[in-house]
Amino acid sequence: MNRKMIDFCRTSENKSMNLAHTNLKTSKLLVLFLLLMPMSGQAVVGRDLPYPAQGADINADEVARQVYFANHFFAFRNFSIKRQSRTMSVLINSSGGSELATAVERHLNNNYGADEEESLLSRDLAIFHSGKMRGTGMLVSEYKDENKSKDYMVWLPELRKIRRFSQPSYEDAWGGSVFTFGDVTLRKPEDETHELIGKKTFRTCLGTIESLEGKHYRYSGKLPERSCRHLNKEVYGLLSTTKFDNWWYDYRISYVDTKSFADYRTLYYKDGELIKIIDRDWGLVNTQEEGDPRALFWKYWYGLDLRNGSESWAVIPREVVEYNTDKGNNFWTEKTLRKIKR
Amino acid sequence: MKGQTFTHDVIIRSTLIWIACQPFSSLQAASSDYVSAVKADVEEFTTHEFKAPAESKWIGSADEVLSGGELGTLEGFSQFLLSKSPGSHIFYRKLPKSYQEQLRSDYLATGDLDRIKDDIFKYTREVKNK
Repeated sequence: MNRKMIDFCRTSENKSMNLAHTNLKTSKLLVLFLLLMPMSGQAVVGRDLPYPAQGADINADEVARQVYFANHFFAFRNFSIKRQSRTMSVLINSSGGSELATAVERHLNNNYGADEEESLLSRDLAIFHSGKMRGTGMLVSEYKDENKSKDYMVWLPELRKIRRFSQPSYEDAWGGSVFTFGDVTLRKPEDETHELIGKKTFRTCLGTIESLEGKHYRYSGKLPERSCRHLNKEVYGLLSTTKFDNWWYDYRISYVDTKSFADYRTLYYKDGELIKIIDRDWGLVNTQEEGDPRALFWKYWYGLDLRNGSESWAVIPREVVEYNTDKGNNFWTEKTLRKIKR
Repeated sequence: MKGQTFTHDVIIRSTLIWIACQPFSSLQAASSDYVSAVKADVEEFTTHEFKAPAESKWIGSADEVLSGGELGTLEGFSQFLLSKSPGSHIFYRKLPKSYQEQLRSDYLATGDLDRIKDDIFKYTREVKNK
């Protein structure tokens, strides 16, 4: 082999080695990217979270994500708890023998595309129709970027102005009830570590304010009786331990339906003592069509704080529930807030 | 005289304390049955055995108490419907078993009795037209 030929071979070898090195680097990056991809996908639960494959083994983190999906109504484009003439959903707070009722209307929109409006994930509009909050409107925007906190815009009827507020604290009471903002909307699967403690049948009826059961009540009409429909349904026990320091609870145990991922009950513990119970009665919106088993709506929420005996009961009559309507995204804007009549 | 005033004072104080505690203790009494049932239910995760509290109104169906039936069975659902809507039950009992089963499972999934009543009439028309 002559000199030129040897040089050519060496250059080619070096080139191919460089190429191999570059390929190796690219492969490493690709593997790293692929490894990181599912993690970043897991962080934000959105409309695209698939229902677990039949027969597939499911872990505690996946159960927690599915519960979050059901509770944020991601099975629907939009979901409304509207006002139907004089019927509305009502939140009853009972403490020390006195009761306080608040009528609420709520509209949730999950119909935001990939690059739409500052990467919005959802918008939630609540309008209060009674009590001191009457005429107040609240528009909450949630973003796909998990590090970005939620935006709170509040329409103050007395000032006839919109004010922006920072995200409330997780432990703040929602509407003065036993439920916290964390319970209702803010708590995310990644705020806790999760563990499955077993599978069993659900044995007890869901709670209610006993003295009001089955009675006629303002705004909602006849209040429901305790729900025993979920008896003997198969549930997962999901133990979730908070990652926050010095938190108001250490861990909570949720009863999660193994098929629909509806969380019927959550028990909160502090220093080994049961301190709070939240029960949720869920209903399937439509049995006529074969659809997503997670397409559920809340029929009622009941909460009991064992530290002070306070109870809360949020009742949502079926006739005020509406979903996948043709409302455009412009309904969930400041414009609607300004139109609220006191 | 002094002794009488002291006795009155004690009675008034005791009455005031009783009144102050009344709403809270009645609330506790109402919910304690529920809390015992909840605690028994959650213990099953660790003990794998369900020890139902005696005479609890939260174990088993409240409708069961009302109607003497059980929602889990067709017979129980029929009893439940009879207690809630006797008019609809007249049409329901004439429906074929398959329709009755459909109505029962729909009620368990949705908990919407008004819709069940509508469906009873819809199915009755369907059966007549067949």
